[in-house]
Amino acid sequence: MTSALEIRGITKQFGPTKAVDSVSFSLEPGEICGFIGPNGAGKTTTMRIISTLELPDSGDVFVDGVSVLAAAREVRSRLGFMPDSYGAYGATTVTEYLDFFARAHGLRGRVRSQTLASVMDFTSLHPLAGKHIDALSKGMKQRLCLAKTLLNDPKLLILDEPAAGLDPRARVELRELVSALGDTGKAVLLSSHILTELAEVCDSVAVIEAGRLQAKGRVDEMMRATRAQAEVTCRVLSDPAAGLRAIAEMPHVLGARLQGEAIVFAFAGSDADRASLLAELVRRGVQPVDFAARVTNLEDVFLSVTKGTLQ
Amino acid sequence: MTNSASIESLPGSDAHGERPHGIFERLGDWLNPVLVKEVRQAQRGRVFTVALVATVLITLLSCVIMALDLSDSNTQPGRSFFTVVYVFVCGAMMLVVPFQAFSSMGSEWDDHTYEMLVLSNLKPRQIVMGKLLAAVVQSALLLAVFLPFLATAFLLRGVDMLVLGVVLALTAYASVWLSTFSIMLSAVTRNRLLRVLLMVMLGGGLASLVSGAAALAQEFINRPDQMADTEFWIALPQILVVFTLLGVLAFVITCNLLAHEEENRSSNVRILGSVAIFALLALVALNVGLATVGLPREGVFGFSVVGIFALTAVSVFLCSEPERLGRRVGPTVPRRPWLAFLTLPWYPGGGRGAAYLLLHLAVLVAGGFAIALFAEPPSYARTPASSSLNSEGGAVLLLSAVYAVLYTLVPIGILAMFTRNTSGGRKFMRTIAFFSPFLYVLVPAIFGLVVGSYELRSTRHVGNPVRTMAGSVSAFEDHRDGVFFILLPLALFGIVLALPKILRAVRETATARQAVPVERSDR
Ligand SMILES: Nc1ncnc2c1ncn2[C@@H]1O[C@H](COP(=O)(O)OP(=O)(O)OP(=O)(O)O)[C@@H](O)[C@H]1O
Ligand SMILES: [Mg+2]
Repeated sequence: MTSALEIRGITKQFGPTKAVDSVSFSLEPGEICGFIGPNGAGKTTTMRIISTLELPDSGDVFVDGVSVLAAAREVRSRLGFMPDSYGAYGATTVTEYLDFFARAHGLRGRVRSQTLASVMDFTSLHPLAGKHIDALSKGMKQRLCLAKTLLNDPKLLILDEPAAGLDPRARVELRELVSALGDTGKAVLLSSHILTELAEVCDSVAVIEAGRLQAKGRVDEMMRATRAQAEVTCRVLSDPAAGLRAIAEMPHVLGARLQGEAIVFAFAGSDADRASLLAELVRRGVQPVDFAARVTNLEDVFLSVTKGTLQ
Repeated sequence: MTNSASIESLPGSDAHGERPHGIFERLGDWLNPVLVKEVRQAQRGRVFTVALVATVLITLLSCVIMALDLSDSNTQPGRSFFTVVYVFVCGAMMLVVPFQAFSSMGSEWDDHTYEMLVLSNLKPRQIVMGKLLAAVVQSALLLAVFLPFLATAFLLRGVDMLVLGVVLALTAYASVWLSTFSIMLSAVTRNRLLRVLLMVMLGGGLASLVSGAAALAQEFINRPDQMADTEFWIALPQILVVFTLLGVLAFVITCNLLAHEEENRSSNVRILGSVAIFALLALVALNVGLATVGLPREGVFGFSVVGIFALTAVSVFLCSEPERLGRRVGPTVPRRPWLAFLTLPWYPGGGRGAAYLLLHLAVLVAGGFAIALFAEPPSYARTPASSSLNSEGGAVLLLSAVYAVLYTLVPIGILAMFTRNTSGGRKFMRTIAFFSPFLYVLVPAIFGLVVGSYELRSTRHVGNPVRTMAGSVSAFEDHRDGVFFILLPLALFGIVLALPKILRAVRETATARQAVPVERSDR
């Protein structure tokens, strides 16, 4: 099966800065992939290259098997791109705006009106149909822009920071929209700064830093990999100093230290290793009262990956 | 939200919103989307409507004032009336409409909406055409609004119906032409500051054009007999042909400015250039044949020289294009080798640009001489002995071809050895090439200052085309040595510099068709 998106070693340089540096990864149909990285990591640049707006210095991108270099027009008809900042035409209503882009995509007659209706349904824009674009709120504009990118029934959606500036309710709605899109078999690549946002909706994440891809994988796998270095906090009934000594001798334990009454250490073993560590402590009479490994979230994945501690 | 319910209703499936589709809507489907958008925006924006109403009111007011001021002695009040109204017509159609087209294209950059147009898969041609059609609609609307005033002018007597019709038709033509030009100008740069500068220049240019056009129209209205001349009717279509070709060129250049880097952004200009050259030769031949005009031999050579210099200006761009065929252009080269070879000069690339220039120089020189055979000999040499082609005009034509090579292939060929073919490097090459005519004059002059040569210092040398090409018959004779020992070797040097590029272009063309384009990733 053809990948919805395949990036092959793209590089893009702006003057002295390598905005994107030999990045490769791919997305299968229906896959929702979070694209995370610190400011200036090269997310927007990568997305603009995928969307044919920028040419890579080297490498190529295939959208649904079509090269952005060799066939930019075909690529554009297969993808929808929602940029992080976009202009809107003044003096137009929501319907007119969508109608214009539907015409631009070559939709005619009944097909156009049906497409408009279904896209407006999907994004719940019907109540706003006659409203002027200038009068829309940020969240409404975002939905309008999403509706616009859906007009050509794209195989791949590129959303650059779609959640930025949305209130919590609008974010939940956006998340629902995105996962609904994934269910229809569209691949979605979305970048965001709000990492916890992505975990629920994404199947996979790609982490980029300083133009280089640091990691790409399924969310659960990445979490497990990060949990391998979970931070464990342990409080003991007996003398903490003795407990600290006992723990420091154990396998997979890194950098154990006292933090008030508690012993804090990084643990590099698996879940099973952690269970046997606890059993061993009990056997040695250390008497643990609290034993908590901090639950990993995407934030930790992100932090550990961008520090280069993974792989 | 109703996502789970509405997901089936994504594009493709049928849902609600079934509107009846009448004949007008079905026709509207085929309209240019950008035109539809622009007209809707103008309707809602009300700027245009307000401007229109205001203009009409002002016109009305001016007419009333004029009517009160009319003395009884004025036998042809229609003429004065027309003059007043026409200033407004002209200002609206030749200033407001092109200006609006300029800012409409420019706002696509400023409002960051252009990329959305690109992503919506509109071709550059459609975008430019949409903007232009919107200008046409505005022009037509303005004309319709002003028609009652103009009809009044006619009814007041003194205004010739034919003159009125021709003046209005030409005004409408100028309005569309200037809009095309303005759209091109606003596509030249995406830098806002530079565009403001261009806008000021455009405004000034248009304003002076309007005053010129108003004066011209008044002249025609007051002396309608000018339009009765056959010469007017011979000249007018020819001028229109030339301007239409220039307008199409502006349109095509705009499309290229908007197009994707990997697209073919050169062949359309090249083809248009060839058409223009043949049109020019055809017009010249036509004028030679027309008994009433009877273009003499000097005229034939003169027009060919103009053609050569226009070709030179375009060739500066063509010869400095990147050599490699774009990744979307390579696959379009014809499969048959002989066809690929024949079409080579019309494909993008600097080497192919050099081939294009040399080919068309040959066509212009040969065409000029061929037509001159049938033309009247020059007026100063109408003796039986001088019917041969060995006239000064022929020498000027040949010389201008030599200068064309000096101004394009020589500077670009030399600079190509030192500059990389990046977009900055190309801009540099083109700037130097455009200044090269001055460099050829100034550098020897400065050298003359140093060595104390009066001839060089006063620019009386072969680098100065005015010296060798204009003036008396003896001008060329005076510089015969310089032409043979400096200009010709230098031009040959330029051609020699271009030869490897042309050969490489031939080889690339030969292999381009064999390479299968990478369109599908095979996995
Ligand atoms: N047009 C450009 N000209 C010059 N440098 C650029 C350009 N676009 C991006 N860059 C640089 O490339 C790098 C990557 O930028 P990019 O916008 O892709 O990052 P990002 O990951 O989207 O950041 P953010 O999270 O802030 O949106 C940055 O250092 C930026 O300064
Ligand atoms: Mg960004």
